[in-house]
Amino acid sequence: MIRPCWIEAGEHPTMPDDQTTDDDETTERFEFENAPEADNEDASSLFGRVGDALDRRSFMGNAAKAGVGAAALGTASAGTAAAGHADADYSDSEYEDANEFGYGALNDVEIVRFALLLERLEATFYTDAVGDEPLAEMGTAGSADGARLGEDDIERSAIAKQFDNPSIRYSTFQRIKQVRDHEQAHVEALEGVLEAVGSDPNFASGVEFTFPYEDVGTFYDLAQVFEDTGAAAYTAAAPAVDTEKYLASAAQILAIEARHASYFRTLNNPLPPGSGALNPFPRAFQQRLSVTDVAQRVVPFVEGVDEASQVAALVQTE
Amino acid sequence: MTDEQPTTEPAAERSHELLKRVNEQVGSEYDLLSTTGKVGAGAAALGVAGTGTAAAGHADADYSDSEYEDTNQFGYGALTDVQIVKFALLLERLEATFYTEAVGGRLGEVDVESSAIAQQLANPSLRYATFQRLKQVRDHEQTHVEALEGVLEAVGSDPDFGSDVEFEFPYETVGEFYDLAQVFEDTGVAAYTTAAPAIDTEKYLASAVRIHAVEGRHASYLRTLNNPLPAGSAALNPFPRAFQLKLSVSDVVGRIEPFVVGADAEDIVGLLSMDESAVPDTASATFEDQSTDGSSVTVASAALPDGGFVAMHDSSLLDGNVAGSVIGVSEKYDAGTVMKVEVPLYSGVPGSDFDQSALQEDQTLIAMPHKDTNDNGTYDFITSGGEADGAYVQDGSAVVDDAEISVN
Repeated sequence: MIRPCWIEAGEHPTMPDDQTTDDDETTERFEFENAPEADNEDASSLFGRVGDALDRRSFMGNAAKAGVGAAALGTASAGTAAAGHADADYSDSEYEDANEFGYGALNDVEIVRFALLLERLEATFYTDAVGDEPLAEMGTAGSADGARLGEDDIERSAIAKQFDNPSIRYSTFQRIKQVRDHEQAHVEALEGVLEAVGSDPNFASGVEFTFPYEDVGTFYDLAQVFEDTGAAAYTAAAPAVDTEKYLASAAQILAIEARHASYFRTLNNPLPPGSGALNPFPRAFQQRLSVTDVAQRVVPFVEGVDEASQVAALVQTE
Repeated sequence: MTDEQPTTEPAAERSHELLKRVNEQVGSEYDLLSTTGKVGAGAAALGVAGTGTAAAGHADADYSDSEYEDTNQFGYGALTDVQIVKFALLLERLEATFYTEAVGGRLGEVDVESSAIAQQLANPSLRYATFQRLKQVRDHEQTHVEALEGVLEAVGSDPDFGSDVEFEFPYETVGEFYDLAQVFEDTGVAAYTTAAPAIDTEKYLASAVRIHAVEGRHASYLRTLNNPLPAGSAALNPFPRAFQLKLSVSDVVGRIEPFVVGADAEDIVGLLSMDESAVPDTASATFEDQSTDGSSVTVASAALPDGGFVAMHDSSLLDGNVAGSVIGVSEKYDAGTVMKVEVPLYSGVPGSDFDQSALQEDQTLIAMPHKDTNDNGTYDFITSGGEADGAYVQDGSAVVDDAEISVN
């Protein structure tokens, strides 16, 4: 089975991303000094560099040193450095604007396409996992047609068993279906935006995704990664959205991605217990991720895509 | 176990007197929410309407609607950036006070961790993190307060705004405390979501959305914990909608009014606009990096204690080219703080002729507030050879702010 590079066979990865503010600040400060200049870089050159960065980055080596997940998720590039900087002093006159994260170089349609790609990935991930069965229906004990996880798989998992209150435990499967519905609604909303501006609403609808998990724990870990990535991407992109009504919609989606992320982080506690709870809200200010960071996170799950520059080719308008 | 009523709010489920009061403030919302349970979740939840949600539902239903109702629908469009920041600061002060008071002695670690809420959690690493989480939320809210105070300070507004407002939180049990926490976080995320598009200054927007996401995370966590006991009733929903609920200014004020000592909703709104017309003590300008077609630039805010203009200089100012570096000037403003000052470039500067009509290349420009010393409404700095309408000076230098301008 193909695994994302940071998930080692046999490991139940906890996601060090966002785990403590202190660590992140240390990382970010370190990265800040080594960060490439992202200012005023246009999208194509920004993405062009990503392939190189990936080659240089020696994921596996870092993963071994920093622990599972650290390399892919914890390492910051230009974007997160600025985030740490801004955290330190909001009123700093040298505030780095949204261009720092690459979104300023994208037009609104490209930002919407980028968001749509992320939402399609999420919608596919959850639909693939729990099927198309409507929210209100009782789950089948086994997996529904074509679904990879059944209600029993989820509700008898170590994650669900953390909850003594059955109303929490036996809503876990229902929650995933609900998240699926949300992501599908986000996809429709973003398609509507593209249609409204005369851009192809079927953008990237032919893109296929692959989700290499084999157990419920890994599924939840991936869910958390996707939601954290979504929240960080929307947060970083928002100030670069020029059209007020799209910004209004993005703000509504952003809050929901953050709610999903917090829920998964509340559930995704390390087992066995006692090893320190994962943090649903590791920072006072939401982490931001640059376009390149987000593209890198997405790459392992897109069929036939090996590097972030290919994501760029998808997103770019003429 | 089904989840027939994903949008049910705890206030509606647990009929604490206190929450009922809050509930009544926004009654229409809850009424409508309960009907969505019947219709089913998912897409139907998007159509949920309420005082503030009508436009949201509308926008949700059809993103491409050309008659999209802008944020004015919710009242934030009528507020200046400073007023929005003040409103946010008031909410954050309320939250910070609420948590600081609670974990600072009103609730002990044992109270929280032996509560019915904590006992839902079989995994000790979850259960015994509950108190820690509250302290962490407290820290976040305190940090948000500081950040927003910093914004006010940066634009020459009073950072102590609202610092003497007193709050009261009439809960008696851990369960009630958690319910209130959830109300505050849900209110916070709804307020930030709604206000975001009405924020004109990009860097404040950038900060606001970062806070907004964290309020959403807090709300989701509290909603995951705040499940009705005894167990077996429907679980509360950490994310009841595909699109975040929006709340109007008056909805938000209605929700916090019960917790502000000696103030009704009208007082709270009055507080926001209180010193808005007040004249700043010192001059300042906030000039953001921006892109332009070259015909004008926008200065985010200018504090003009005696009124006057905002002049725009190119970087030859730094070489001592004081008069020749002036490439534009704003209209005349009365004493006060002005937001979004548009400065046309290469035109309308009395005494200057330009051989170009727009900014041609990306460059640094410098905004400089000037007085109208002869009070004639015209910028006479050039024509008077620098005698009239001089710049505001602080500590011996002209008050300026620079920005990188890119021409598109």
